[in-house]
Amino acid sequence: MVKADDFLNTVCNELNYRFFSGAVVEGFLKFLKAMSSEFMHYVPAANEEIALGIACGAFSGGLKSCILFDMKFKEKIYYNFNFVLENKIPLLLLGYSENKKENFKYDIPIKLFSKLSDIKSLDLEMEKKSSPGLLIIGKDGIS
Amino acid sequence: MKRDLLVKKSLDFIKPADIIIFSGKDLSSIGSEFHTPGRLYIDYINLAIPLAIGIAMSTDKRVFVFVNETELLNNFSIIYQVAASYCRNLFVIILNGNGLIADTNVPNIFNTAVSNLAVFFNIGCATFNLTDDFNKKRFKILKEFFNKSIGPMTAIMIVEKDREIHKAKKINCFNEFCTFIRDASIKTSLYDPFASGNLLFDEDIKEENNEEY
Repeated sequence: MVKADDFLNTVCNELNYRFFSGAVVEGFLKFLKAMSSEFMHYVPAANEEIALGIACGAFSGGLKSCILFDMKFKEKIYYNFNFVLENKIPLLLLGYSENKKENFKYDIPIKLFSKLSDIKSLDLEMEKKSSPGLLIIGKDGIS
Repeated sequence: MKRDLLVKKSLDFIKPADIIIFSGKDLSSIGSEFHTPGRLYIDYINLAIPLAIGIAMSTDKRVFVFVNETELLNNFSIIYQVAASYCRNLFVIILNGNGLIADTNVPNIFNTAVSNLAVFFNIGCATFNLTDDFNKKRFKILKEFFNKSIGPMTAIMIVEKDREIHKAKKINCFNEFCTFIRDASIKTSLYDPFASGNLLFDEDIKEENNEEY
């Protein structure tokens, strides 16, 4: 299990993701509590579809962005995901799932989170392929 | 006023430093006739306004979004998001064509609300109906309105069918669009009452109050 502070430190300070958006996800409670406006910006969204749009907009403005969502609602991400792929927007998708065998409709780099180096390797892969990437965080992912 | 005419007239009031997003095929084809780097054409449903919110949060340039009311009905929660963003540089122009989709009318329920203006206002958006101003060609007032408005703001305008059928052009301009947004040399055109000196000071307010009572 990785501490929420360490996770945020890696994502925000080392990998420079400063903009976050997402709908309420119970599984990310500890992560949400550890957030601070000193080093990041979080925009609560009404639903996953809106969160995706806001994050894409923030990327247009020059910020590396990230969305938080529950994998139960991944269908909502699919609606406009072609826009992300067409324009090669390097969005980091943080999906919470209690099920370790999750699948995603689109062919993008996917990693199951267990240690901090997983995020770094995913970020590298995203950069190489200039595509979005999905980090699946399980129940025992962040404490 | 005809929808295409109204959109083109509105574009006259928006400054070159502003960002404009057109949502939907028909609006995109109208907007793309005079393409500039600060314009983006979105052919995905329910993406234009969230995208505009994200942009407005990450830049100080003014962001205008043109959407049909049918799209707004599809995802009404976006209005809450617009209001909650508190972005002073975000302006949503809603073209109410009574179900006008690609030159045909279909029934819809947008106008069943007692007052759409009140709904939007109570959610937290400054809201205006500019239909009369466009129909009566009060262009001076409209220019002032576009220049000095502060967001988050929605403007509703009732429109009629386009004058002509516009051929859809697909313009892939996302990279050019991003470069425009990130260009710090293009300064914002957001109205600053402090810079213009157009402020009411305490003494003025006191005088006004004395007159009233």
